[in-house]
Amino acid sequence: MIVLGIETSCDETGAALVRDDGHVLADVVESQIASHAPFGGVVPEVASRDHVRNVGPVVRAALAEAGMKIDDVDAIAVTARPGLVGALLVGVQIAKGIALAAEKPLIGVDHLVGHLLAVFLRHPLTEARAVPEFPFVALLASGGHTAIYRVDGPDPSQCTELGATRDDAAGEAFDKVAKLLGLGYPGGPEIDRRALLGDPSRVKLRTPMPSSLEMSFSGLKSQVARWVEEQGALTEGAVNDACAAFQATATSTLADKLVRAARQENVTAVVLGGGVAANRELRQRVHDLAGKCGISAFVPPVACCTDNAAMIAYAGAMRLRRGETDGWNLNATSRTSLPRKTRKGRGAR
Amino acid sequence: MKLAAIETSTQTGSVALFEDGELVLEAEERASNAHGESIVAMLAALLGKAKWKAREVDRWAVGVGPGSFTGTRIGVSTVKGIAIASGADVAGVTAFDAVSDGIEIAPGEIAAVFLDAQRGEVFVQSTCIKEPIFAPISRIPAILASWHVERLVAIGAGAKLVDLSSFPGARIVADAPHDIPHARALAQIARTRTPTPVDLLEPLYVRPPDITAKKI
Repeated sequence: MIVLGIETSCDETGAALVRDDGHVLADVVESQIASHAPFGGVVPEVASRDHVRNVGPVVRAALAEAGMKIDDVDAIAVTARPGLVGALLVGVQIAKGIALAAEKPLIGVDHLVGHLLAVFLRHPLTEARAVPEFPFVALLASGGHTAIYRVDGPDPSQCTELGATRDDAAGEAFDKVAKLLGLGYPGGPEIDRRALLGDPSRVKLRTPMPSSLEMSFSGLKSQVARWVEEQGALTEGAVNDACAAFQATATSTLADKLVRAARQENVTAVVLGGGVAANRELRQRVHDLAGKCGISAFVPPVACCTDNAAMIAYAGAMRLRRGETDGWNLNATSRTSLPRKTRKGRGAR
Repeated sequence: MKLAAIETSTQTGSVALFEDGELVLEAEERASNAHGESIVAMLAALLGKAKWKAREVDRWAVGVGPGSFTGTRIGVSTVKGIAIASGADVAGVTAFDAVSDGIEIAPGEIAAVFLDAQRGEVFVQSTCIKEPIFAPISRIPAILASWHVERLVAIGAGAKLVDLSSFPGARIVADAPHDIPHARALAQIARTRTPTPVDLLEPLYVRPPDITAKKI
């Protein structure tokens, strides 16, 4: 079974062809970073306009990369939730148009489920990797979502949230801290690069919510903001130190909670997903900490962690295997289908 | 030649099927959710009724606005998807062209099309200006005065929003089918249009995106 996946939930336009065993036949992603960089973050209307322009060439490029025609595909999967509704609708409607004209099943996919299952993708150009068995505990950390899930199977009903951020997503905190430090957008890669040059011990940051699986990144960002205010003019060295301290605190928080969640659930495998999983220090910390605790860490290649359509195609193939398809009334929504446990906002619980 | 048209740039979505220049079937529906849930269902039902398959259609006409940004993208994206799968021709038709289709303009008359742009503004197109504009309704009389128009033909439902009292001889054509764009008009225009390369098919936004500075 071969599924065409389409992804337009945020600022990446993606199309991919994936077999239901996880083999990626084509994976094309067109980034919109250059369009949003002048604004310091994703502008929803700009994202929607870029998707309309890019999605046709991206879909055709994926078909060409796989050497296939649309008739060779068994189904069309598309991200229908969660995300920017205007951006999602571009993908959903193009998927409906393709499915209608090609007479193929249409499958709406939850973007977060795509991230949780991305660990099963097998890219032809990367080394063969082991994949986890269910159940596993996964950290999904991106610019829009940060949560830890117990995953008992590929169905959204088999994914249970164990803890999530009460405020900013981890990736959002990286972007905001980068802005505070006068760095460009997106903040994650630049902070990661500068963290290597800095000394984390020179900037004292408290670990937020150390005793819970829930998380808070807004307070961590505020600690950096206060530090910036105290410094006055920032030297290159001071910026690097702040990057190193922020990244160390954020990534150790995420890694600690992920491994603690696995132990709490008595599960022996942890998985990373989402754009923040591209962070070098987070990948290393998860690997090291899990290893110390006798837990296997499955860290997918960076291309599988950031937004891509291959994970959508694979999650769609899993839905199709279960006999699930959607009708022409498939709509886009900003909310995930995964039940949320962590309540947003401050205050006692 | 089989031709199908989709219009989603206003709250009234419509679909029309034409064969060799004759209307086969059409459907229209008001939708408050920008047609995401309804337009393909409406299209599929109409195709089924006509016993057509989507891939048999030779040309797809689509309304490119200006109008609702999201609504217009829904129609344009749907047609792009169909064209990618079927290889059919596509033709984008502006709401200005659709609304003014079939209106005779006498010598000496100047036509201006007004479309409701929401937020107290209208989209305007006329032979007096090179590119369409959007402007607050209150500014339109001054804009029209600057064109030195003597015999105005004000077309489109947006004309009813504008104060035209300083143009006492103005001819107002604002009732259906010249109120808002309808799929039937798109199809009639697209019959003789040169197809648009599918990758160049985009909404005509006229209004730039709203950009709010991100909070830290």
